[in-house]
Amino acid sequence: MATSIEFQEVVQGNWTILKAIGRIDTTNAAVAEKTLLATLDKSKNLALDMSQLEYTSSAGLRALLRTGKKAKKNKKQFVFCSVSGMVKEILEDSGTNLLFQIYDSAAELQ
Amino acid sequence: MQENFSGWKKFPATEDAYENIRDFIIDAAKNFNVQKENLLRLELGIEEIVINIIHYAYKDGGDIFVKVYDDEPQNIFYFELADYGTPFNPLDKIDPRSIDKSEIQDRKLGGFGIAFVKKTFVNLSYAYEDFQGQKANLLTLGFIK
Repeated sequence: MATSIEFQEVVQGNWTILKAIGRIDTTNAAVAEKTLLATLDKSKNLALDMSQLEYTSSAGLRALLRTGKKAKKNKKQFVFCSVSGMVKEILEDSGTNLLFQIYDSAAELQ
Repeated sequence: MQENFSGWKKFPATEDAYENIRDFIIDAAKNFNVQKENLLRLELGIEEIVINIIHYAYKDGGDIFVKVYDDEPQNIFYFELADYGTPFNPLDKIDPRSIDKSEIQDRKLGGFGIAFVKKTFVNLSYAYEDFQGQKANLLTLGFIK
């Protein structure tokens, strides 16, 4: 069972929305992080839509934290949308949910 | 083909072997009737503890040994991990949430894995003792089915 992650990108006003589809674990977290950082670089603000993110481990959390640190440094916003299921549990268990703004859906972004 | 889940199974302690280790334990969990909705949480615990061993046990490579079984009356699925690496109890690590309340720019990136392990498993034990004629790190992890 190989782990896969894909990202779909949509620009909405001042936001670039990346929809994560699949799973982030130790085998592909580096690829996910590279995509997140590269998208942040070219965006005013970045939102990660997690509605189709089935799984993440601490390797994925580190990618999110590094992206969040870079956003803060560059005075950009990096937020999460549509967080649910196991991913929501992991964000809450690690306290990562307290470090990021979380929206119920991408439609709420302004 | 029905997988044989009896006895110890040996894997190289490498990132390339991680998916085989994970799949072996997950397949066993299904075989021992762990509920489908609990498998992602089990996978998280497996990934965090196995990757910890792969990254830190050996300086020059080595093996991980895995054994699976269940306690049917208690409804618990168990797996055991053994390695001949440096003596190290990962369960002694401090949960970073208890000490790190900093804002994002100062937040440390490590330590969450073991916190997840502690939260995922109901029975956790560590010993450094004889394993097949040599001293080894032995971890036992129990998961409610």
